[in-house]
Amino acid sequence: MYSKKNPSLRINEADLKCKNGCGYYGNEEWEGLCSKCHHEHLQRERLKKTGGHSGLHHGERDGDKHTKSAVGFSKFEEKKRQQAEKKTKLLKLSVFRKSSNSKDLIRSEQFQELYSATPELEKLKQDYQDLFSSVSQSVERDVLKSINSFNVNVLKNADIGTIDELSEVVQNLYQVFAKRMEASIIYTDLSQEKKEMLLDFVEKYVMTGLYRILFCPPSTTDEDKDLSLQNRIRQLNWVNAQHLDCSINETQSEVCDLVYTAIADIIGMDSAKAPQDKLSCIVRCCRNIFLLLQQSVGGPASADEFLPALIFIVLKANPARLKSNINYITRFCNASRLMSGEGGYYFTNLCCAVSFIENLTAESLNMPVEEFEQYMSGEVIPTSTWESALMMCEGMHLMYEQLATLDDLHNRYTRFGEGALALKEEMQKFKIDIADEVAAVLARTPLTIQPRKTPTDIDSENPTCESLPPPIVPQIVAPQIGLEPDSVKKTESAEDSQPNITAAALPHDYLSLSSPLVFSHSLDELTTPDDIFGAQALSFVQGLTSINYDIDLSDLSADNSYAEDVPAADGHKSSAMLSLEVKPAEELTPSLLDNTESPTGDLLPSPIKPLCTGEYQGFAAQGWQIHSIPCETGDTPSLNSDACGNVDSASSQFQT
Amino acid sequence: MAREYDHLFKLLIIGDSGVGKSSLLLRFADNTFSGSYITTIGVDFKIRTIEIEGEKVKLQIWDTAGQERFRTITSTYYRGTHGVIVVYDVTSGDSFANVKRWLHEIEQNCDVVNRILVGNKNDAPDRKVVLTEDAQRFADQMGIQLFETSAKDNINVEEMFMAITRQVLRTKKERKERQAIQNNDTVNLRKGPKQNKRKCC
Repeated sequence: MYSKKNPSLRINEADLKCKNGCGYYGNEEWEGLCSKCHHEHLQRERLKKTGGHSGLHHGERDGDKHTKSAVGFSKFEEKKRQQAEKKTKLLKLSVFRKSSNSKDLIRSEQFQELYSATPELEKLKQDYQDLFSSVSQSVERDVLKSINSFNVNVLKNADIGTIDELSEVVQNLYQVFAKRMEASIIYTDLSQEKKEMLLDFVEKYVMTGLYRILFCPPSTTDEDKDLSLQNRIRQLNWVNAQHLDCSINETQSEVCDLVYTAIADIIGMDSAKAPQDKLSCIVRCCRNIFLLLQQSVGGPASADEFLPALIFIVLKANPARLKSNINYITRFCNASRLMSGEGGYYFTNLCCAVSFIENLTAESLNMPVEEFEQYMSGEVIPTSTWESALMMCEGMHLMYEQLATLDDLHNRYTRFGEGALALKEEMQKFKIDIADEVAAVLARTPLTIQPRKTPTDIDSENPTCESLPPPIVPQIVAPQIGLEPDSVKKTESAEDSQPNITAAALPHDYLSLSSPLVFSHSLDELTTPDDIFGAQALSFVQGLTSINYDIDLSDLSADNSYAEDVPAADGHKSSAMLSLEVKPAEELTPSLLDNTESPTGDLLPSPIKPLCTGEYQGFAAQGWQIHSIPCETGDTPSLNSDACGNVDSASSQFQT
Repeated sequence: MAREYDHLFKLLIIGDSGVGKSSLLLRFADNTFSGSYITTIGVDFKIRTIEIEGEKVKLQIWDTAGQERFRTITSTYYRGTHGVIVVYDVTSGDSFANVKRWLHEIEQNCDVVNRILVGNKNDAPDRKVVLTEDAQRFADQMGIQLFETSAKDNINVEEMFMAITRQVLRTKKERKERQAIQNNDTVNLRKGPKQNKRKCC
């Protein structure tokens, strides 16, 4: 809040002043000069153009510009008033013409001009959209009609009467509208609250529209008064809180903030157009004063403390066109609002503050007349705590701001450090995890190394007995579960006979243990192993691939061979076992080896057999390597084809 | 009427600085007192609705600065005021002496206004310097009601505000009656503006 308000104030103090340095407020429209200096500037320009004898006069003027400025200004004012009178005459003429011609048409044109010139009116309408949407259309129409008649009335009177008469007219119109709302049937079903809002709207709307005409009109001396008041306040810039006996603790930063806010509020009054808006600026300002008094006094503040504080604020703020604003509010704000309510109370206080400033004497500041005179003439400059407080506050403010930044930085730093630590920990943990995992995998892999030898056995067998698929395998297991009673029974009997025939080393427990799972595999035949691969750990995969070969091969070879069947069946069993428990697999693998060896030796006394035994070691080594690749990648769908490729390569190698 | 009150009155509290105007106001509006302890309430502009003779009266009470140097400028406060409460401090003779000046100021600023005299801080008999008899005599002489109150001990505060409100209400009713006899033109006034303007956009 502080940082926002402060610059705006600085702009007001430094940049808004007349460029000529005369101390009045400048205006952008007048090239940054105040109205007076701009007028002089224009005149000089004009004189330069005309040149000649007027040059001397110009120099004279320029020389003692400051001393004669008051005279020059009053001349200017005179001229302005004359111009205004001329305008009034013209307007009167035009009014006269209007009435003779089509009066309404021209009037509506006037309104068009009035409305198009002020986009604020549109905004105002938008603001009150909710109100109008809650009332009937006839009400809205009537309100707009009233506004129009209001405008007509005021415009008519604006040319003729004095400002006081105009004020009376406006006040009467407010009353007329209020009475109309009470009397007219259109408004009967409206609540009191809505009626007040409508009245508020009418007042705002009309006043915003007519602001240009009614605010500080040339027919009055408001501008003179503004300037003299501004001058007066500037002269009194040495007055501080102690002089006024007001308990503002200037060195406290919160109080200082509130002082700034209050000053900004009262300065903002000039920019508002509707009297209500101006009033609400005053109310805001005064509320802030009460807040700061609470801070300073340490308890509830009373009017005894409030009024001096308000005077102090007005002195420090030196609001632009203060007198004009007060007069405008007094004249055109709904009178009932000014006599009661919070706005009225604070406005009254402001009026008092202004009149106090205007009539301020040495007595009212409780100081000797000589001292007062010295201060007023600028001979002696009292040490103003206000200025020093400002300086101090500035420094304090900077310090606080930087402290806040430091704090923020510190927080960010600690947060960053924490994050880095967490990341480090995570990395370490990850490292350990990976190491553990690798170790675990490594610990598991030696077990699988052995079954890897088995595929070589099978592979070696495969080429030899390509025509020996074991379609009987599923049949063997089926009956144990009892899904295919007829066919399975046969196979069961066949299987039962198989181990007996082929491998005596195969323990009988194995069959009984593995049978349910083996059965399912055999039922699903070729597809199921794939699924199992996907689901099971790497270590098992190798054992399974060996089975795969068998099945593939056995499928290819439609013929049956007992020798092939047995290892295949065992393979299934082993895989099934592994899926259930790990330990049986360990037990199983050696038996598998035994098994596979035994069938190859027993049942395949083909011409290739000698070769097989002869190249057994080397082939196994190669087959091992090729084999392990797909397994480690864990790419299950490719396993089959890889296995096939393996077999092919194996067979090709075998052939060579 | 759908309003939450039937009458709205503006009351003004005047008196020397430090006689306890704000305390009276606080006591009446918030029923609190801040003599020694700190409260967070600021006395600025207080509103309280009370019921008198079955009618709801909303009171707006304006506090004023009592310092001597602001004496001349407080005239603006009197605009639209229905009743004025003049406060003095029973423990301060000066504040009582100034009452006359305050009353004079009221006369200067408004024509017909209801007034009430209040001697505040009537809670320490040993420190009391303004005797009740003296004050009463003065009040009778001026034709105004006197109340001795204590905002600190909450003595007579409510009664005092009720009394001034009743007074204001009576005045308003009397005036209304007088007006009712005088004019019956209200109907015409209301219909006046409606007939005039027809054209609008």
